[in-house]
Amino acid sequence: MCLFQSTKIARIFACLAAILVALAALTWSSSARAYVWMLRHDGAYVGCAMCHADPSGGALLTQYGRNLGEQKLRTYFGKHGEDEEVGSAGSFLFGAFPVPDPLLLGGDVRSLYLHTIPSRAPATDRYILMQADLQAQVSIDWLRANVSAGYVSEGALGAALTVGAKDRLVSRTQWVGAVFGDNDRFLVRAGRFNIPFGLRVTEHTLWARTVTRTDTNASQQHGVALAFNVPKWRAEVMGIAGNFQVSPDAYRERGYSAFVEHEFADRWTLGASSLLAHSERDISSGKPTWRHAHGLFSRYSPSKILVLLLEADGLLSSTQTKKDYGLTGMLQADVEPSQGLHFLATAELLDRRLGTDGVSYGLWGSAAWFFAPHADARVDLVWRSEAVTQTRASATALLAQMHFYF
Amino acid sequence: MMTFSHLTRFVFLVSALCLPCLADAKLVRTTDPAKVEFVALGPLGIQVNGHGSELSVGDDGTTVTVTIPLQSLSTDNGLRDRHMREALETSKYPNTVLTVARGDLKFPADGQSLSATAPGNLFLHGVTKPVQFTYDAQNAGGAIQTKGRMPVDMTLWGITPPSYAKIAVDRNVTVNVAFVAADR
Repeated sequence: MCLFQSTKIARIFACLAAILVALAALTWSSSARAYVWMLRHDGAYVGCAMCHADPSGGALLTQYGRNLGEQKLRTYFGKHGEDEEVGSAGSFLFGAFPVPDPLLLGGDVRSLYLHTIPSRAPATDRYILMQADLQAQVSIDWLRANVSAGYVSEGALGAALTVGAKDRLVSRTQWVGAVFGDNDRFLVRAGRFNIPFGLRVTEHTLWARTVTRTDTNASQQHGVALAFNVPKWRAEVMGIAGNFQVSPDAYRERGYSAFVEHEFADRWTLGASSLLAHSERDISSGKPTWRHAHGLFSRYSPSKILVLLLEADGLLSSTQTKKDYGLTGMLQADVEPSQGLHFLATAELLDRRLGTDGVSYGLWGSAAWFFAPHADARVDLVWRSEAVTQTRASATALLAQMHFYF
Repeated sequence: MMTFSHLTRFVFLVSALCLPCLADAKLVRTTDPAKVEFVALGPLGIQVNGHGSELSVGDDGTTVTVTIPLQSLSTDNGLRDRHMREALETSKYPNTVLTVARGDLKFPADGQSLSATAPGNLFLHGVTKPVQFTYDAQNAGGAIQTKGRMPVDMTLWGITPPSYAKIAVDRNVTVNVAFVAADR
């Protein structure tokens, strides 16, 4: 007889755990694209800054990033020479109107069908408009000004501009910055942007992103940051002033987050991240809390067809009365047998309180196809077994996404 | 009619004429694979690595030439290669040639190695300019393994640094070549 059936209290815990797992799966929401596996190409794309307005990757593309995406991301049908020019397919809205040089424009629309099967609750089906963002950046000489605004049908609370349970306006980034140094190697910026930490993967609900609160969906914070990008090195350090799109102030975290990554050999990088933040009322503990996350990450592409991504982070949540040490990590293999077609296998783990609750596991099997200019489809089958207060609950989720960018 | 004495004198004369030729060894590339690499840096951390394996070595006894067919160079990106060839105008100037006076080169003895700097002239994009290059040479049983390095400011040869989608590589490119030659 299993523990769930042995006592009434255990059954309540089991139900709670099942609900938690289901909720975790259901909070899947929008994502800004960032393809860390691009390092498989040409040896030139270890860094992110040449393709993204955010020097550490994600969201708004530079013109170079747009062209490269068209050239290297998608499947071509029929005859296509490798040396063919990208043409208007690399432009905003396929070049429907000219965009002046100082201006970058972009947008993402991503929708999701989600079928969730908790182990001890009825299955659910949902359709979510995860992302409908417009992004823009103005570059005048050394000056950069960047903003995004959009709509989500649900989720993305941390990025919300409006209140209410559903139908929110969101803004994930607003910042101004200045580039300087040889080859624009430095960018100093202030405003709201992604937290520089770990692998900026598209799968923003991986525990390595959610538990460290460094996902690209809604974990952006306001602050000041200095980014550094030269061949084989990239780094960013951010002073976190808090997320001023949440209130009251007690919930806002203050501290720092940083990463550094170096390409030690051709298509093999190793990086380190560190985050320390304090809030007067932590969203998990409800108490004044110091939150730590420190870890290593690596990217390795032994051949163009395969990229391996690894991240491991140590966690510490410290209040006046207790300290919880934890661990989270992920390993992902991205196989691209033919340009534009990706098969991914991901394993993840989470131990929120070492030696207390047990270890949570997750397995992902995914396929993504960049089937047309500015368009990709993706299917994920996610199984998670989560340890919750001496018991365990699992859920399986099937996700089908469509993504268009323009 | 040529007598034996005449024949002897003729053979002696021919041999005497040939002796300097025999004494003047020439560099000949062996069949070992050669390597040509270049690195171009750009803004925001971009680094373009180019490579090739076609290279020929010529030696007329007074001048050594190293010729690289530019069409053979690749950056593993077809479109970028096309832009590179357009910038270099490879259809018009298919080769780059480094010319060095043999007397300016040092040759290591068998079992020895050395590093040195030498002057030369680089023909590229229809322009010839003096250059300085450094090289390491190691003599293993008569096979001289040579690795040379040279910075090239492409604008000095009239080349506009290739630019794509508002990102241009730096005008300074580092060129590395490696080959094995025998001094025969």
